[in-house]
Amino acid sequence: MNPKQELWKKCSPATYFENIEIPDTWDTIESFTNWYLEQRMPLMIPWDAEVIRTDDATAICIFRKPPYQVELYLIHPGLSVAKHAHPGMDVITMTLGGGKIDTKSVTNTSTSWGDISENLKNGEFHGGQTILKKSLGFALMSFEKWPADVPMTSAAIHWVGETAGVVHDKLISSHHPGAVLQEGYANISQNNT
Amino acid sequence: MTSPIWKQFNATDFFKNLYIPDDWDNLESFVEWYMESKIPIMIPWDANVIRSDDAVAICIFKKGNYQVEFYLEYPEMYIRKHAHPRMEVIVMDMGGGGLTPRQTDADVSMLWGRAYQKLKPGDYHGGDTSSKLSNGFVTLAFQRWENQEEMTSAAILWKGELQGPLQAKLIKEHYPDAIVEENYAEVIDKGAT
Repeated sequence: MNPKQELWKKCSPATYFENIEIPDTWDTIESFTNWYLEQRMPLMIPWDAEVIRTDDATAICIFRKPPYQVELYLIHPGLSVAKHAHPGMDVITMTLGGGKIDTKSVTNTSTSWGDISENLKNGEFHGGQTILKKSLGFALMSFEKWPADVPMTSAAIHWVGETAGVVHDKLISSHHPGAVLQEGYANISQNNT
Repeated sequence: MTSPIWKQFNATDFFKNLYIPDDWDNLESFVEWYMESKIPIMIPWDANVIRSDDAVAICIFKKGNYQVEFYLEYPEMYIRKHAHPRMEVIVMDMGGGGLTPRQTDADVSMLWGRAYQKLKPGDYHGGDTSSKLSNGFVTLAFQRWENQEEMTSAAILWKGELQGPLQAKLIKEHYPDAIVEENYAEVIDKGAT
C-alpha cells in the first residue's frame, strides 16, 4: 500500500479469477475444502478482512463465501496453539509447513504439506501440540463453516479454551465483551458480566 | 493433541502441472511467471515465520536467487521508510483491512493485484502513514537477491527507519555487525571494506 510509488502493472481480479466458478453454497465443509483446493487455493482476500493478531499467531481470511471461509495462519516461532474449541463451527485444517516442522520433500516443501485434518465438529477440542514449540514458525489453512446466527470473524476469536496470552484475551474481549472469564481462558458461549 | 488426518494432498501431485523454470531473466519475468502460475503457495520446508513489530511474514516460494514473501501488516501500523541493500524488490498489494473500497465485480480490494515499479538495491520505499487507518493488509514482496546464501527476509536485509525492538533483535541475530540504533538500522555489506 504505497500510493507514492509508481505503478508497474495491475492484475485485474476479474480477469485473474475468471475461470473460477464459485458455487452458491457447498453441501459440507469437506466439499468446500475439496473445491477450494481444486481451484488451486485462490487468494481472494475479502476487501474488509481484518489482520488477526494474537500472541502465538497472525492470520487473515483469504476466501469467504458465507457461511464458509478460509483463514491463513502464520504460527509464530517457538510457540504452539493451546488446546481449544470453536463452538458451533466446523473446522478442517491443512498444514502448509515451514519452520522445519518436519523434513524436506522433493518440492522443497515440508513433507506434511497437504495433511488435512478430519472435520472438527461443534465444540470438539484441538491444539495443544507442544512439540511444535521447537519450530521456527509454520503456516496452516483453516477451512471453516460458521453457524448461521454468528457474524463471521476469525476462528481465533470464536474461541473456547486456553488463550494465547494478553493480546489474544484483548482480541476476544473486543468482539465478545465479558467472554474472557479469567486471564488466559475464554469462553465466547458464556458471559461473566 | 494431534487431529486425525482426513486426507493428504501430496505436494508433488498437487504441483505436478506447475512448470518451474531453472531461472528467470529478471525480477519482472519472475513476477509474471508466479502470477500466471496462480500464486502457488509452496512454503519452503525451512522457511522461518518472520515476526517484526508491524508485520509477520513467511516465504511462500523460493528458487535460486528469487523468492516471494507473504506479509501480513498489523492493523493501525505502517511500513516506515527503508531500502533493501543487495536486493531488487517488486511489491504487490493484495488488500484487506477495509481501507480501500471493494472491486465492483469481486469481493477483493481495489488495490488487489497492483504491482509497483521495481526497487533497485538501495532505493527507498514505505513511509505512507495512511495505512494506520486500516485493519491491516496483505502484500506480496517479490525479490531477487544478489547473494543466494544471504537469503532470509526483506524485513532483515534492511536499511532505514526501524519498526521497533522485535525487528532490531531480528536484524542483530542475522547481522551482528549491523548498525542498530533506536529508530534506525543498517545492514552492513559483508563484502565491503
